[in-house]
Amino acid sequence: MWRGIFKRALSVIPTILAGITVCFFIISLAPGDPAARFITPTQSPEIQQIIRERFGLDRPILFQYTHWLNRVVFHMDFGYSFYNGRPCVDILRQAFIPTFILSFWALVFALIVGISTGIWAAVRAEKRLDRTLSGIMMLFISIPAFWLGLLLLGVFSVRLGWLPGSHLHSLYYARLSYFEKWIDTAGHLIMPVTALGLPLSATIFKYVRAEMISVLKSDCILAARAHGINTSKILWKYALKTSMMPIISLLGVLIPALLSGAVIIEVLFALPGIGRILVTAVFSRDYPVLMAGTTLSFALVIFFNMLADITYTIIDPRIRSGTQ
Amino acid sequence: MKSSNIDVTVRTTIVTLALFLICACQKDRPGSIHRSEPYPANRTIDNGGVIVAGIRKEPESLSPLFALSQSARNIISLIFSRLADINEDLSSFSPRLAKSWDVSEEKHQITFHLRTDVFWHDGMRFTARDVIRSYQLHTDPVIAWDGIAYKQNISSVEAPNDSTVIFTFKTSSRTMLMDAVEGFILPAHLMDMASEKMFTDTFNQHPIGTGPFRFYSWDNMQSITLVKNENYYMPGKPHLDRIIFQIIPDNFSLLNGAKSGEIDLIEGIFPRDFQMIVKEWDSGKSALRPISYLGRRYDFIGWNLIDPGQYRRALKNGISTDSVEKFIAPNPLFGNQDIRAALTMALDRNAISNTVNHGMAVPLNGPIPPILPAYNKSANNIWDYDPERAVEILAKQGWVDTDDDNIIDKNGVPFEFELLTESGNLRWEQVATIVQDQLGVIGIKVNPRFIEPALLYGKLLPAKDFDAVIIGWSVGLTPDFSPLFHSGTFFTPFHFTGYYSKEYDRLDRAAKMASTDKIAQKYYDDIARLLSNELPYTWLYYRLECSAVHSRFKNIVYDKRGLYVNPEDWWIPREERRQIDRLFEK
Repeated sequence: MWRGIFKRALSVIPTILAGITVCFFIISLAPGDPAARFITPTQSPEIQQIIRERFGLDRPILFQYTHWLNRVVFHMDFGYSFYNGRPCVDILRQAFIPTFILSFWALVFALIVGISTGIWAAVRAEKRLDRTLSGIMMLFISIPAFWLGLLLLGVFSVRLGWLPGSHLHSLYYARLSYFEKWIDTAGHLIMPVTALGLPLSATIFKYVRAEMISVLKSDCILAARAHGINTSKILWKYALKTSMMPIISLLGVLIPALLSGAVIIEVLFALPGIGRILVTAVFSRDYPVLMAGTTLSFALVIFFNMLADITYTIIDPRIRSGTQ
Repeated sequence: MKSSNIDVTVRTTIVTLALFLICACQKDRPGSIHRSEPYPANRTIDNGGVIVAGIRKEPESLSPLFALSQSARNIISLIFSRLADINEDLSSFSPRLAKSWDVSEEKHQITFHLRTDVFWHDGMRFTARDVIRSYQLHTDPVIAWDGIAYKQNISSVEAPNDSTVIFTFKTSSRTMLMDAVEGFILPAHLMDMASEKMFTDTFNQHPIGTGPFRFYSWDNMQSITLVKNENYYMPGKPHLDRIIFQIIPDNFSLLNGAKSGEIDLIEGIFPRDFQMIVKEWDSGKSALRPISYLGRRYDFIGWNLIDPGQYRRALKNGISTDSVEKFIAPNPLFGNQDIRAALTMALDRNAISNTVNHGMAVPLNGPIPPILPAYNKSANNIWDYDPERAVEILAKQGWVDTDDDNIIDKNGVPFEFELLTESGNLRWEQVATIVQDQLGVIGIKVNPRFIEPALLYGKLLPAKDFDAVIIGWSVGLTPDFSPLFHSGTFFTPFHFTGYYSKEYDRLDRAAKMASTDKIAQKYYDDIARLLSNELPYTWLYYRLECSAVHSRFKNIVYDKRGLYVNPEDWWIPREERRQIDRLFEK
């Protein structure tokens, strides 16, 4: 099994390499000059050339690519931002933590809400509770995350004033005790996590409900019922495990969606994550940050897909034996 | 049974959504609103307190050499000082790091006498060496400081001793003092690295200055905090303990922060939101005091006066400034002044301005903005809204609707053009739509096209590859239109209209060389007359800046220089302090 996992891990390297190469050329060949942002009417036209030299944009594109790849592969150096002159690695390291916190809790929230309501609805399939839950979840699946975020802001921040509307923590965060800091951050994360997690939970709900209904109607469950095994044991021991298999595959797809959804949520709630970094980088043609961010996103998406495959291998003995 | 199932689902969905929307759309809870006078007379100033300013964009740098955004410049103006600051009249100066100055008899030199009681925020003493090093950095082409043009007339800067600096100029000019004092003074002891390394130096994120506030912290994409400079050279100032800039990119969240009291000061409010703030202030429901003043920005329609295809070919064949007239053909639509005048008269610019600015703009008819001393309203040629006259002029030029398709044409060619503007700029997109509508009335077909900014400014405008464009400029404190209209800048990115006039070149040079403001005024009037008559641009309106500040802050002076004119004088009465002031007092 471990050899199979190792092989799978090695196979993603060419994929990442091909992906970032395509991204590099698309970004570099897109219209617009990063140096144009620095030019004002009162400066001489030669300044634009000087700024292009500062960023190495005066070199042929193939040279720029090989130089960039060499630094990234052998030194883990993504260069300096064209926008603010800071090292890209520092920028992403700082931004990764808030994005990770937001995405992690949104995923936990989505899994808890999605799975629990999905099971509940499946057990009471075609009854009033199932129909009500399905209606609510259909609403959440249809609402874009930013719209839900705006509604939450309107209700809980503007109207009721219960929750802070922006940022990861309060201005006086440094003066709080450890426990107060924890409460403060949690308060700031409730709305963004809900806005990001609720549409995902609705997707998970749909899958779990459908899968659970199908499993509960299967012959083996009927046989278990006929043997007099109690409902709770059937549900939690047999039906749940079987119906969770598609959710693992789903997670591999949901995590990229989670990262792209985080972009909008980070802008709306002023969270200092990778999404905001990338949005700024796109508009200012900040190629180094854009490439560093793209490489990271690329690696994360491929990593989580690989993780889903591996988890599948571990859980399902049939696949495991196939690998061996 | 089935219809009942659907009913339950639909009902649940509708009720949930409706409840949510009702809650979200209801007005704010009325809180206790305390408001007081902005400039209370006869009372002692209290020291202490915090102001939280909301900004949309994180500053790219806090170094005066590399900062370009307005938010960065505002913060820098609190950390650093100049030799002297310009006054509200935009022609006289108040001493800052220089306590006085003398102009030599032959008017080629200015000698600055520096203060000797100024210290950098790291404790080092400020000396003439810092002024010399700042001048070197300001004029270093590798650094490419955006104010480098101010220093072009300076031939040398010398320091005979630690408290004296002599600026020598190439030619005597009435802007010598402005040229010398423009740019913040930087600490020489921290600026000794190679010019190439400066853009990536950590100084840009941890600046050391001599201003009223010193840099304290930068919480990535969250906030920037400045604290009171205890060793500030003006005794007893500043009064506030701390200024925090909270970065909130989303407009709704920013306004929400101001409404809920988390934010004390916001700038660049959209006119429609500003009107709402005014309404709430007038009705006594809010403590957020609206502030508006003539800013630095105007919008216009730029016409392409030359044929783009011909220009492309001429560039390929090698064209110089001297041969522009010979090789460039006029634009078939906008190359004729009569047509530009007709287009300008066909536009109801007051209606456009009122629609997109909600009353927060003033009319503009020429190149000189109303905030500058050189502005003379009567010098501009004013083209009033007169669509009938516009139709007559166009008919005289041969543009009539011969095929009854409601579009005027000439020699079988319809009068149709593309009107570009920046995508995402809702104001300009709205203007483009109104222009399309108004010109459609006189039979001109306008196709608005919203272009991504990098493509618009980085490619289409510099290549003069467009028909007409709606954009805006931010103006400096001295009138200088040469980058936009002088033939010497014909091939530069900002001179995109292809305007070429020897008369303009003569007036521009004469205005710059004028020895007194009075003589210069004559030439500026002539420039205004010439450009407002020839119309390379159709000037639309001059915008008012819309800001708001919590009423507990006193003595905030704002004028055409901006909102951060006297931050060292801002203060909060002790009885009006809030929880955040007390939290930072601990």
